[in-house]
Amino acid sequence: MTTWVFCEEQNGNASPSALELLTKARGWGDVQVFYVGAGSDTAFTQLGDHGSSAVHHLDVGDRLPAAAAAAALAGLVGESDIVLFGMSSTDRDVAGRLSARTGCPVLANAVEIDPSGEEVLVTNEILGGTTRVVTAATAGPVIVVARPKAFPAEQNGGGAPGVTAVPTPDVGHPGGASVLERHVEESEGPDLEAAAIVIGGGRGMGGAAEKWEPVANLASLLGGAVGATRAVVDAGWVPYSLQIGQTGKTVKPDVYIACGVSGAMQHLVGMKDSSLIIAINKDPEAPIFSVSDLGIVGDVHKVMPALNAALENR
Amino acid sequence: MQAKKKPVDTKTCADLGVSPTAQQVIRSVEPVPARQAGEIVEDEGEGYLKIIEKLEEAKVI
Repeated sequence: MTTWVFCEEQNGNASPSALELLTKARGWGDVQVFYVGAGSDTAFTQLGDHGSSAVHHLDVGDRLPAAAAAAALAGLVGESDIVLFGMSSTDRDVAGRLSARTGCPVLANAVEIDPSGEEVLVTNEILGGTTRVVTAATAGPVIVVARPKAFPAEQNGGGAPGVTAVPTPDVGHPGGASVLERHVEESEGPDLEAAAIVIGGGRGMGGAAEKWEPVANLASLLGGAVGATRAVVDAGWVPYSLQIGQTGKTVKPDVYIACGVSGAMQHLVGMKDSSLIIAINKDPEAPIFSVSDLGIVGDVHKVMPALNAALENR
Repeated sequence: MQAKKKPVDTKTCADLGVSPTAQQVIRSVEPVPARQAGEIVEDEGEGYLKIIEKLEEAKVI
């Protein structure tokens, strides 16, 4: 059995999901990476450091990679193999195409993967993270799409892996789409998904720009990142890139401070696995308190300025 | 009303030349253990001190 981890290059680095999945899978046996992108020694070293024994590198230039990647990957994987993907759009695109090519199902949204028994058991959470379902595939290779942050990424000092170039297969029309432009969203402070401390602001903060200030101030005082609920993003107070939740980003920081966040299920699934959760909300019945380690029932516009002032004076 | 007049043509999977078989089977369904709610404090002007205490415990300040 070989485990394959799909990795799409991101600004010269390995994708975070690939490093997480390598960390998870390296204890199972041989783990190889199917890599899509221009190729970079930095990325290859990252993959080796996280347990990859070999990297199969496909470079399709400015073409959209999914169709070619799925065709090439289908030629490499065997029936007893496991193929792991993250949740980026390219990851999911390739997983779907690989499923069509191999006739094997995609087990999606995985939060746990266990290949130790006779069949590969994949756990996912449904109904807003309240119910766990364990599924298995009856045909292989087993294709799994894992949720971001389901597994922590840790190095094991594996060293540089061998890199093999994969020839670009001719897939005809589907392989013809090209990338014309890329836009990078500008942001300040630490990356929301990687930050150790996240300050999440909800509708309770109020709409005007100055009302949002305590959230940004607290984040900068603690060296954390700012996140927001869907209601806040929908209202246009902050950009979509800050949204935490089912349709936004998943965060798993050491400390999550929810400010004026009621705790709708859609938001909770994106942050409930944080190590320490502190919530400030004026409604004592707010669902956010049911997942909080510390809940302050009070006005965010009184508690936060006092908190920020106290932190400034330290 | 136009839609009601349209013929409905029923086809079986065999007519379409496919034989679907489930390749994904559910092995178990269980509730996720709920996260325990922690301490809830009513803010009387000193609530922020509790937060500082927690942040100190977590060694982030």
